[in-house]
Amino acid sequence: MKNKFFNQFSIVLKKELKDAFRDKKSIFATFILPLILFPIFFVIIGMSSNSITDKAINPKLTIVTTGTESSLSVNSQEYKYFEENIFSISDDLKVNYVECENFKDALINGDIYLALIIEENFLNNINDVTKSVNIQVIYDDRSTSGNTTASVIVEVLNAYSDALLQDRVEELDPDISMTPVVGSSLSLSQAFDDIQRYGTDSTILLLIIPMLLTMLISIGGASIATDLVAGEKERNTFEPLLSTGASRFSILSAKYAVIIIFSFLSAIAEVLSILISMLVTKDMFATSAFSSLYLPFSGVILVVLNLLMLAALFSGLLLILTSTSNTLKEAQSKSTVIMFLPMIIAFATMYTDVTDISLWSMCLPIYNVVISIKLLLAGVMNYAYLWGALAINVIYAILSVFVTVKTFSKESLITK
Amino acid sequence: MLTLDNVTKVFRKNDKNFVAVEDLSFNINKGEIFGLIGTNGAGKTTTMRMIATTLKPTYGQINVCGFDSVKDDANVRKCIGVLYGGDTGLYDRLTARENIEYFGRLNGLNDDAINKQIEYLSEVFGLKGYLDRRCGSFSRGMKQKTSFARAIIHNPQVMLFDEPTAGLDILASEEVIDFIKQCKKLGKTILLSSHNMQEVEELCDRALIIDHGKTLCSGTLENILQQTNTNSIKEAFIKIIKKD
Ligand SMILES: Nc1ncnc2c1ncn2[C@@H]1O[C@H](COP(=O)(O)OP(=O)(O)OP(=O)(O)O)[C@@H](O)[C@H]1O
Ligand SMILES: [Mg+2]
Repeated sequence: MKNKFFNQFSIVLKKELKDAFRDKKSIFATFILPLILFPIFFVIIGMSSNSITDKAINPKLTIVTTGTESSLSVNSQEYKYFEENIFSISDDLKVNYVECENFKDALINGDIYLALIIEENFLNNINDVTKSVNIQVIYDDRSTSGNTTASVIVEVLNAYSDALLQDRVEELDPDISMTPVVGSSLSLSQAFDDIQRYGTDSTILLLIIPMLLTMLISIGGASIATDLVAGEKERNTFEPLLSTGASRFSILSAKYAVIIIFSFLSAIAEVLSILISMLVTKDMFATSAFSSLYLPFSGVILVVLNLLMLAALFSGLLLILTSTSNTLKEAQSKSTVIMFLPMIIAFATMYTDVTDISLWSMCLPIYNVVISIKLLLAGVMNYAYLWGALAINVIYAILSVFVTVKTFSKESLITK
Repeated sequence: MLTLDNVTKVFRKNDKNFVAVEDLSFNINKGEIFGLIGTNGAGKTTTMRMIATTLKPTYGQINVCGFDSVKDDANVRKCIGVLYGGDTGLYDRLTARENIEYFGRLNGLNDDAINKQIEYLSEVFGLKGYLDRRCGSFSRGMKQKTSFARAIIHNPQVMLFDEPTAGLDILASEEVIDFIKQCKKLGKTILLSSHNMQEVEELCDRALIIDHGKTLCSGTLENILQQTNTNSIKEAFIKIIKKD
C-alpha cells in the first residue's frame, strides 16, 4: 500500500517536473529573469549613487553678496579667497563655479545646486578676530545632489572655521589643547574578544534577504501551481488523469511537492542572484558581510524548518486556488490576490528591531518567518521565538494540508 | 462485467437539487458493445463519470469487473479505460510516447509491458511516425488517436468511450470505429455514448435511450426498432424523444 503510494507519487512528480522544465516561459520567469534583473538592479543603484557623490564633489554653485541677485565674478577677490582658503580644505572637492544673473532663477532652473550668500565686507571681517562672519547656504532641496552638496559645503565651512579658530588660539597660547574631549565607540564584539558575534551587520542583507526569501518561499510556486490543476482542467487532461489507476491522494501529494520544490528553487535562485550581484558590483557590504557571516547550525535548521512549513502552508493555499478554478486565467487572477499578502506582511517587518520583538508576532504567519530569518542573520539567537514560530507554523501547515485534501476529494473538482 | 443498479445522480446547483441521472439500470456482458444514446445534457457523460469513479452515485450501485465503484474505486479504475470525447486533452509539452507512457505507469504497468503496448497501439493507429513528437503540434485526429492509445494502454477489460468520434473527419472516425470493432473481437466490454446514430447502428449490440436522466427505452437494436415501429435507430430515437 505504502509502496504503491510512493510509486504513483514519484511517477506524477517526475512527469510534472519534466513538463514544467520544458515550459520555457515559466522557467524564464521563475529563474532566469531574477538572475538577470537583480544584478542590473544593483548596478543601476550603484551607478546612481556614484553619480550623486560625483555631483557632490563637483558641485555647481555661485557666490552672491547680500541684497544682490547676480553672482560675483569668478575673478573677484571673494571667490579667490574661497578657492584658495576654504574649498581647498577638502582634497576631493572641485567646485564648478557658475556665474549667473539671478541666483534664485538659477537655483529654480537647476543650473546650480546652491548659492553662498556672503556679507558685503566679507574680506575685511574674515580677518578681524573680533568678528563672526555669516555665510548663508541656500540649496535646492528638491534634488538629492542639492542636499548632499549643501551638507558637503557646510562641512567644509565648519572645518575652515575650526582651522581659523585653531590658528587664533595657537597665536594666543600654543599649549591650549584643541581637543579637550575625545569620544570614541566600540561595538560589543570589538570591545570583548570572548563574545562570539553571530550574523552580519550588513543592512542590505538584513533588510532584503529575509523579506525576499519569505515572499518567494510563499509565492514562488504560484505560476506552476496555476498550471498544475486549472491548467490541466483547461486542457482537458485532468479528468483522464483522475480516471487512471492512481489514487487521488498520490496525485495531489505529487502536485503539492512540485509547488514546494518550485518555491524553494525560486527562492534559492533569487538569493544566489543577490549574492552574485553583490560580488559583481563589488559592493562595499559584500566582502565584509560574508567574511563576518557566521551562523549557528541549530539556528539555520530552525529557520529552514520554518521556511518549509511556510512553503507547505502556501503550496496548500495555491493548490486550493488552482483546484477551485476552471481556467488558467481564473487561477492566475486568484493567485495575484494571494501574492499581495506576503508582500504586505513582509514589508511590515522592515523597521522591526530584532532585539525588541513582541511575542504575539510569533502567531502571524509570514511575519514570524521574516523575523526568524532576521534574528538568525542579525545573530540574535532568540531560540524561544524560533521554536515558538515553528510550532505555530506547523499548525498552519497541517490546517492547510487538511483543507487541501478536503478540496481535492470534492466531486466538483472534475467538473467545469 | 459492468452492472448499474438503480443509479441516480443528484447535483446541487444554485442551492437546488438537479437530477442528472435517474434510476438508471443496465448491464453489459463481456464482448458486448452497449450504446448510450441521448440529446445534449441527457446524462451520458455523468453516467460515464460515475462508472469511472470520478463521480459517486447519489443512490444505487455500480459494479465493474466484480469491484464496487465506491468501495473499491482504485481497482475499478485499473480495469477500465476511459476516453472522454470532445476536445481531448494531452500534455502539449510531452511527446505522444511520453503521454501514453505516463498513463501506463499510473495504471501500474512496467516499462516492458508499456513498450510492447505502445508498439502494438501505434501500429493499429498509425502513430509510428509521430510517437516522439510533442503533442502540441498535433492535428485533432492525431490527438484523438493518441488519447485513444493512452486510454487503453493498460489493456483494460472494460472500455468507456464518450462520443469518441466527436469533431473528427470521416476518415479519422472510420479508423476509430474500426478500432472499436477490433476491441470487441478481443472480447472487451464496451460502453459507447454517441450522437451519431449510424455509428450506433454499425457498432452496438444493445442500446439505451436516455433523456433528461430518464431511461426511455432499452434493448437490442432490433428490439428498439420493433418497439417504435421504425426502420432506423435515427427514426426510433426521434420518435421516442418527441413522444416524451
Ligand atoms: N457537476 C455538475 N453540477 C451540476 N450539474 C451538472 C454537473 N455535471 C453535469 N450537470 C448537468 O447534468 C446534466 C447532464 O449532463 P451530462 O454532461 O451528463 O450530459 P451529456 O448527456 O453528456 O450531454 P452532452 O451530449 O452535451 O455531452 C446537464 O444538464 C448538466 O448541466
Ligand atoms: Mg457528454
